[in-house]
Amino acid sequence: MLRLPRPILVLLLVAVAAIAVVPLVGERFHVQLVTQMMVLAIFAMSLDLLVGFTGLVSFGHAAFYGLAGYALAILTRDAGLTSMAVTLPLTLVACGLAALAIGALAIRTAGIYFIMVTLAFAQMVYFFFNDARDYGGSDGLAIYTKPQLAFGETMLLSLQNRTTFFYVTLAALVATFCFLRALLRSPFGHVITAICVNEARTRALGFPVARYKLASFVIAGVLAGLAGYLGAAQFGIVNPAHLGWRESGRALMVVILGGTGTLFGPALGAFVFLLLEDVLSGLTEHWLLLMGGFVIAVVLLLPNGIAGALLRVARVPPSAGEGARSRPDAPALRVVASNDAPILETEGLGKRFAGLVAVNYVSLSFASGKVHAVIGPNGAGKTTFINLLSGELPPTTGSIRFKGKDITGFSPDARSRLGIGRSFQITNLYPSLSCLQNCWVAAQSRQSSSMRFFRAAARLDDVRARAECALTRCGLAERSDDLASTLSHGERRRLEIAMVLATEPELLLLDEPLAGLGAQESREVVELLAGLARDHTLILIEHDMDAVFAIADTLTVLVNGEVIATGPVQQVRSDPAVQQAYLGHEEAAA
Amino acid sequence: MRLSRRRLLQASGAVAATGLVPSRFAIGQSAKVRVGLLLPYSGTYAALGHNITDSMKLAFAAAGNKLGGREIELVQVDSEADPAKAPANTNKLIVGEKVDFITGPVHSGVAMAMVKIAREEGTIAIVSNAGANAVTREMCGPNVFRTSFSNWQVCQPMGAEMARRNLKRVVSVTWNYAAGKEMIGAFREGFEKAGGTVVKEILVPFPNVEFQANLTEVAALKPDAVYAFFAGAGAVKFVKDYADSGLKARIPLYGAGFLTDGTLRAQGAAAEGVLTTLHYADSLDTPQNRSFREAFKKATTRDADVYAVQGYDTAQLLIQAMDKVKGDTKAGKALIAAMEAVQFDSPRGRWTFSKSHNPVQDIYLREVRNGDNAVIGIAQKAVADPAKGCGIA
Amino acid sequence: MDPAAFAIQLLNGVQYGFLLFLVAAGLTLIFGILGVINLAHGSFYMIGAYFAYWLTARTGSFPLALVLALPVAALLGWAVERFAISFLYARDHLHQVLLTYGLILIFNELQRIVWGNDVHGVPLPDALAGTLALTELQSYPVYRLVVSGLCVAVALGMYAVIHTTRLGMTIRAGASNREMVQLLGIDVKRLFAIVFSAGAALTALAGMLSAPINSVYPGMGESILIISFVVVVIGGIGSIKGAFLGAMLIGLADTFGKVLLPDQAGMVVYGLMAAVLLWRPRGLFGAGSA
Repeated sequence: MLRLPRPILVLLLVAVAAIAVVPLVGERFHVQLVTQMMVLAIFAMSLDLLVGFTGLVSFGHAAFYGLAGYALAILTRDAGLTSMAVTLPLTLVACGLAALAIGALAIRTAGIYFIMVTLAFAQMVYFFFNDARDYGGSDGLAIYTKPQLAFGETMLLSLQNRTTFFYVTLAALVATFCFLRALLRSPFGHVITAICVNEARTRALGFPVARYKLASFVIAGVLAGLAGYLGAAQFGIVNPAHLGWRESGRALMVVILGGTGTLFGPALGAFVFLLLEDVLSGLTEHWLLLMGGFVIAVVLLLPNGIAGALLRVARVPPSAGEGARSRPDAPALRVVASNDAPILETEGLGKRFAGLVAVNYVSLSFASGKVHAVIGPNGAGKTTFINLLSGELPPTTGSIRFKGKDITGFSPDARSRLGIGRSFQITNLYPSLSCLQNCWVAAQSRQSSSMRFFRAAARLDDVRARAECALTRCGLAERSDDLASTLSHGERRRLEIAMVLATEPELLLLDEPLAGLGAQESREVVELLAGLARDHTLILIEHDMDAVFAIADTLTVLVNGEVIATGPVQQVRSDPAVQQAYLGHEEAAA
Repeated sequence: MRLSRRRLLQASGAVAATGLVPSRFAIGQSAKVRVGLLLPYSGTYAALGHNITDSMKLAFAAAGNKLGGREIELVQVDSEADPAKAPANTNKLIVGEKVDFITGPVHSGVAMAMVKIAREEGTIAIVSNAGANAVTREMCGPNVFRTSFSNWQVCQPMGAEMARRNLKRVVSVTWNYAAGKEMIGAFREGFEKAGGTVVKEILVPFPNVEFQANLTEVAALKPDAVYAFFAGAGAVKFVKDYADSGLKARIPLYGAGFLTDGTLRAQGAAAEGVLTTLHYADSLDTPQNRSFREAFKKATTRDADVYAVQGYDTAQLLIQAMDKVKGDTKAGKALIAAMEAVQFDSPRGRWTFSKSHNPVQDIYLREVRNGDNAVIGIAQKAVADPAKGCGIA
Repeated sequence: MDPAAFAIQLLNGVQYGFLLFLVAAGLTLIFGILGVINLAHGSFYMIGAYFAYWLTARTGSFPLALVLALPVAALLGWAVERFAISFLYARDHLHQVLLTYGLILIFNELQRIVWGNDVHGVPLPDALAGTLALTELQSYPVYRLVVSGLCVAVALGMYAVIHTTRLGMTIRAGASNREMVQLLGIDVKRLFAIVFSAGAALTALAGMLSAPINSVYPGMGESILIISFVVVVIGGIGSIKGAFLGAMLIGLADTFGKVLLPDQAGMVVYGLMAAVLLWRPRGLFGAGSA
C-alpha cells in the first residue's frame, strides 16, 4: 500500500516543484495561502498516521497542534526565547509528553470510545487555556517576535521573512512526508499497519500492541506539534479555538477527503480543502450549503477520497513476472530432532466457565517432534484446551510446562515468543495486505528490533527471507504479492499456517486446519501438515478422521472436558471405550 | 458632513436593491477604494454581521457610494466568528484583496488577529464591534481605530450607579471567557471604588446555558443585586431563567447593555425592569437616531440596533476622513490625522476619538420598559477608556 | 452547602439530566442498532425547536405545535435515513462522520434561510407558566417540572416498548448484537428506518420541549451534540439504561461542578467521561460491538 504507482510519484514531484516556484511567480497572498496549505498538510499527514495506518481515529488531534502554538507563544513571551534551535525542540518535546500522557490513557479504549476519549482530553486542554487568565483566555496570545535561527551574530533564518518562512515550511512538509514514508516501511511501520488491519491477530503473533499504538500516537502528536509551531509562527496568533473539537473535526475532514491511509492523499486534501473554502466562501453568503453538499458528494462518490480516485486512475496492473519469486528448494526453517522428550506437559489443567466445566483436570505429555491429534465430539472442550495451551484463556486449575519451563501465567505473546505458534479455526489474516506482508509481519514478531523505527537492512533481509520461505513451504510463493483478500478459501488456510510458520515456532497449535475445506483443498493442507511434521511438533484439533489417522502419531480423546484415552493412534483407535464413546457416535452421526 | 434624513431614505432604497451578495470577486478598478469587512455572515453571530454590513451600505449609499470622490468597493469575508480561522481570513483581506481599510469583527478573539496583522501590514483597521480592552490598550497603534466601545467603558459606569442606588453586596454572573471577565472586572472596579462589595463572581463555562445551579447559588447568597453579562441566546436564557426562578422579584437584575439588546422580543416580560448601561439605546429620542432607524428599517425591513449604529459610524468615519484627504488612501499621516479629528454626530449621540482611538462617549442608563430599552439617564458622560499600556495615548 | 441548597441543586441536576436523556436516547439507539455515528443528530434537536417556535407563532398554542411537529420530524428522519444514511451502513465510521457533518452544514444553512439569524423565545400557555416556591427567594418553574414528568413518561414508554413488544425485542437484540438481527431474518431495512425516524422524532421532541426554556437560535444543534455524545458514551453505546444513567451523571456533575469547582467547571463533564472510560472502556452498560 505504500508502493506508489509511478504516475502518482511523478504527480507529487511536479506538485512539490510547482509549490517551490510559488514565491518566485505568485503574489504575496498566494505565498501566504500556500504556506497555510502546507501547514495543514503536515497536520493532516500526522493525523493520517493515526487514522489511516494505526486504526486510531482521534477526535482530539488539534490539542497537540494548539498546544504547540501555546508552547511557542509562552516560550517567546515569558522566557524571551526566539531561537528556533531552542523553541522548536522544546515545543516538540512538550507535545510529545502531552501525547504520551493522553495516549497512555486513551489507548485503553477502542473504536468509538477512543474517538470520544481523545475528544474529552482535547476539550480539557481547551478549557485549560480558555479559562487561564495568564494565557490570554478566550482572546488568545500574540507572538510578537517570530522564531529565528542564528549562528553567533549571523542570522541564518528568520521566520519574519515570508519567503524564508515559506521554504522552511516546504522543507518541513517534504521532510514530514519522507519521514512518515520511511517510518511506515520500517519494521515499526509494518506492525502498526498490521494493527490497523487486524489487531487481534497482531496481538496473537506476539506483538505488544499497546506499546506500538502509544508510540504511533506520540509520533503523530509530535508531528502535529510541528504543524502547530509553524501555524502559530506564521501569523503570530494562538487562540483556544485552535485546540477545539471543530479544528480536530476539520483535520479529520481533510484526511478523509484526501483518502485515509495513503499519506499523500491527506496532504493533497489539505490543498483542495483550503482552496475550496476560499472559493466557495466568495460565491455566496450561504456557502456552507455548498460545502455541505460537496462533503456529502465526496462521501458518496469518492469513498476512498481524492487519493483513492487518483490511485484508481494510475493503477498499473502488476507485471506477471513480479509475483513469481518462488524458491524451488525451500530450506527447512528449523530442524528439530525427533526424540521422545516431552515438549509440552500439562498437569491438572482445568477451566471452568461460571460453573460449567469445559476442561477438567487434564494431565498430558506431548512428545517432541510428533504429530498429536486431539479429537472429541462437539462441546468436548477441545478449543478451550487449545486456548489454554496458547494462553488465550487463563486456566482455573493446573499448570503448563513448555520444554520444562512453567509457562502457566504467560501471555499469548510471551508464549509465541518462546516458540508456540497458533493458527485459528476461523482464518484470521490481514485481508488488505499482500501475502508476503502477512508473513512479513509474522516473521518480524520474532525480531526484537520491531520497535526500531528505521530499517536495519540486514535484519530486514532476514525477515523477508523467512517470510518468503514460509510462503514457499505453504505453496503460496506465486501469490506473494497478491492481497490476502483475493485468495481462495484453501489458500487462506495455507496462508494462515504460513504466518504461524514465519514466527519460527517449535510447537504448532492448529485449531481445525481442515474445517470448511473441499476435498482437494483438504488434501493439499494435509500434505502441507505432513511436510511440517518433519521438523515441528504439531498439536492439532480436527474432525476429519481420515486426515487425523493419516498424519497423527498420537491421539487424545476428550469427552466432556476429560481425557478418556491417549496414546499411539492405533492403540487409541482400538480402545473399546473410545469406539463406543466417540468413534461409534461419530460414525452413527455420519 | 451631516446626513439629511432625505438622503438617508433615498439611500435605503439603493441598499435594498443591491442586496447582499458578497462582492469579493467583483471586478475592481484600481481607482476604487477597497473596504474590507471581516464579519460573521454564518453561525451564531450572523445577525450582528448583517446589521453592521447593511448600515455601512446604507451610509455609503447616502454618500453616493463614494469616498473622497472615489468609488467604493466593499469586500466581504465571512469570519464565521472563528478565531482559529481569523489570521487566514484577515490575511485574505489585507494581503490577498489589498483592501485600503479593514473593518470588523464581532468576536474579540478574531479582533486580536485582525489588529495584530493590520499593525504588521500597516493597513488601517477599524474595529466596528469587538470590545476587547487590549485593542485600544496594549495593541493600540496609529492605524488601529475603534468605533464601537471597550468592554471597560460600557460596564464601569454601572458600578457607581449601583452604589448610588444604595446596593452594597452584589453577585456577578458571566461566561468564563475574556469579554465576560473584562466586563465584570470593569463593573467591579467602578462598584468597589464607590464603596460596594462584589461578594461572589460566578463564571459559567462558555457557551453553557444551563444556569439553574448558579441561580440557586445566587439565592443562597442573598445579595442586594445581581450584575450580569451575557449576549445573544445566553442573554435570553439567563434573563428568562432569572425571572422564572422568582429571583427577579426580590433581587434586582443589572447588567451590561448586551443583556437586553436585540433580545427583548425573545425575553418577553422576563426582561421588564432590568437595568443596563450601554453606549446606545434603540429608544434614544434624537432626530439623528429617529431618521437612522427609519432609513435602516426601510432598507432592510429589520429594526436597527447598537451593532447597526456602530457600522453606520464606521462608514461615517471613512466618509468624513476620506473627504478631507480627497480620497488619497496613500496620504498616511494626513489620513490618520483626518480620522482622529472626525466629530461624530451619531445616532448614539456626539462622540470623538480618544488618543488611543477609542470613542469618548456617553454611557446611557437604560431600563426595560414595555419591551423597550428606555433611556432613564446618562450613567456617565464622555467616558474615555484608561488606555493603559497604549503607546500612542 | 446547607441541606436545602443541596436538595435544590440535586433537583437542578436531575432535571438537566432528564433533558439530556431525551436527546441521548435517540442517539444511543441509532448508534447501537444502526451502527451509525450521526453528527446530524443535533440538527433534529434544532429543527424540533424551530418547528415549535414557528408553529406556536402560527397556531398560538404550544401543545398543538408539539402535536403537529412530531410527525413532521419523524418523516424528516425517515427521509434522511432513506436518502443519505442508508448508503453508509457498510462503510466505516469515518464516512458516517463526514456525511453527517455535511448534513449539519446543510441543515444549519437551511435554518438560516428559512428562519433567519435572530434569537426567538417560545411563549408558554398560561397554565404552564407558573412557578412553585422553594425557598423564600427561589421558586421553581412549573414547566420544568412538566418537562421532567414528560421525560419520565417517555423513558417509561421506551422501557415498555423495548421490553414488552416484538419490535422492542428486535431492538434489544440489535443493540447488543447487530449481526444477529440480520441472521434472524428480520427485515433490517425496515427496522433501521423505524429506529432512525423514532430517534429523530425523540430528539426533535427534546428540542421542542426545551424551546420555551432555552429559546431558539442558530447553531443550537451543535451545543447539544457533543454533550449528548458524552452521555451516550458514558452509558455505553446502545443501552437505554446507560443513556439514562449517563444523562443523570452528567446532569449532576455539571450542576455540582459549577458550584463546587467553579474554576474547572468546563472540564468536569469531560473529566468524568475520561474517568468512566478508563475504568470501563465500553461505558457503564456497553454491550458488544462498537
